[in-house]
Amino acid sequence: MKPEHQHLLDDLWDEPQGTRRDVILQAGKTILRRKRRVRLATHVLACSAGICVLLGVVWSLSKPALSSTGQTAMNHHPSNDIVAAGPQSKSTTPALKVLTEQELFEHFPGVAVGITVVNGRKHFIFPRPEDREKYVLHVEPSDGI
Amino acid sequence: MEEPKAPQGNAARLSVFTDAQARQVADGVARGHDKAFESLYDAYQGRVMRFALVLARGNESLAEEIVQSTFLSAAQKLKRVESEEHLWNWLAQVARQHGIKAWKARDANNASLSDPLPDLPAIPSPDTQMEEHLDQALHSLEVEDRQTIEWHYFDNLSHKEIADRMGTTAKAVSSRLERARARLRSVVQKLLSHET
Repeated sequence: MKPEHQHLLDDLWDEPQGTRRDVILQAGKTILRRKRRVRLATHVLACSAGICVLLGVVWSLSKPALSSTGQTAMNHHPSNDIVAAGPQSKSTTPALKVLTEQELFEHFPGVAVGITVVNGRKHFIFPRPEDREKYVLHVEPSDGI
Repeated sequence: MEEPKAPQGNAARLSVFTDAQARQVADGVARGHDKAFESLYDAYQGRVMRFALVLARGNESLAEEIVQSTFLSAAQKLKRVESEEHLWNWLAQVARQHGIKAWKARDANNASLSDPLPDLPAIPSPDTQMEEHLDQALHSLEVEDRQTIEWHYFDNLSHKEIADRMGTTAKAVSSRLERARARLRSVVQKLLSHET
């Protein structure tokens, strides 16, 4: 279209005092304002979802790491050794059987042996020197017998 | 983002966006920027109105309805475009869809209306059609009115210059132009309404 024709045609349907323009721009701006809000809300939601996912990933990664490092730390701490090892040894080592004195004596057939208590600790007594030589000398004093 | 300046006044109104400006404006509207929407309206309202008049077969109120719906659709749905042509094609397509809707609504509201629903998508080059009608309308004017229009719009003479040539006042020229435009408008609308 020739520019002069376009100019003339525009003038033929030129709006009085821009009323159409005002109405359309006002309505359009209302739509755009709503659009901006939706856009902002979408961005905020997307960011929140992203942060949540990120936190979830970090948490799930740090959880096993924390438990393993925690266990290692406990193993290195002397005071915790018993606590850490306790349940394990309990589960793997059979319970100690406490022998009665009679059962204990049955381990020394034909040997003269007795038990005496000194300062709250029990000690074997072998009256015959050869028995004493045989059994007592092979036991370390640190073993508590 | 700096929005492209909206064309202002008669001279500027003739210009359209460059491809880069069209991309920028469409992007701005898609992002919800008010200034971009204003720029879009100011640059295309004339062209969309002419197109809408062809779609509405000269019915001015229907054409205005189409224009309004087209720009509101643009505010809602316009996305990124590749070029000015892409932008105009998008607007024209939306206007055409609103034209069909408007005709259907008008037809439903007024069952006694004898006008058949025009084949809107088949309208060839609305600008060319409009130009042809304008030429016909110009030839239907009285000689003095046509001369005044041609001097003012085609030769870019001011009211004062035309008044000097015609031996009258600028105010009289202004009144004559106003009358001639009203006559032209009426004839173009009549010609459009008789389109099949």
